[in-house]
Amino acid sequence: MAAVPWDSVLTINKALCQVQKTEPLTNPKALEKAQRLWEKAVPSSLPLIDAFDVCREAHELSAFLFNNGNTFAAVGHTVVERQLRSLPPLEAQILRTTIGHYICGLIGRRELQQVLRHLDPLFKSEPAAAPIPAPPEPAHQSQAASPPASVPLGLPREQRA
Amino acid sequence: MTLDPEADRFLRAAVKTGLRLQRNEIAGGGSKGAGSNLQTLQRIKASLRKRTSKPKTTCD
Repeated sequence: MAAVPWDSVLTINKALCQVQKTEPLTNPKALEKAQRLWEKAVPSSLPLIDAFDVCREAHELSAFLFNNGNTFAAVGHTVVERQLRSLPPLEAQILRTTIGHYICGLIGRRELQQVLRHLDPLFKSEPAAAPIPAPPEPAHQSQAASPPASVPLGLPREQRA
Repeated sequence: MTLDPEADRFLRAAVKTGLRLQRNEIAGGGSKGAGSNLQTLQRIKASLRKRTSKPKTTCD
């Protein structure tokens, strides 16, 4: 979560509100709680599912009046973006949607785990090559090979920066 | 505010993703958004009803 400081979360929400021409209003008490929760999680290298839990809990606090769900779902999707690139498009979309639904509280941990378990073999078998044109990330690629197989669904290590 | 390149890259990607989610929400009618809006409306209606309703007095 090191790549996602709390300021980035605020910026994401502001950007989304700006597009909709709405004020990026917040619920100050909830915002403070969400920030505390977030900042506690940022320095640690969390397994992917725990990172989603942080997004889910932060979403639950409803710190943002507008785009609360989109903000945290966007973070969740982006955290897993590199892994998504290694999946076939349909499976990637399934995972994206599942993550978004989990973060927004529409499905439970069990459903998320089921989908992750179902897609797990694909993560392992697919090479890290990105079929979608993306900005070159040499640091990502060099480190992508280094994590042991025991953490296939862990947060990308490079995000600890 | 300066972010390290990695955080900056993440931020750009997340904003892009958020915008895509927003567009999908609009295109799809925003199932969650619509649901929560409906709930809010129902809550407001219920609270208004409570505030305006008076105990009925019978003539008899």
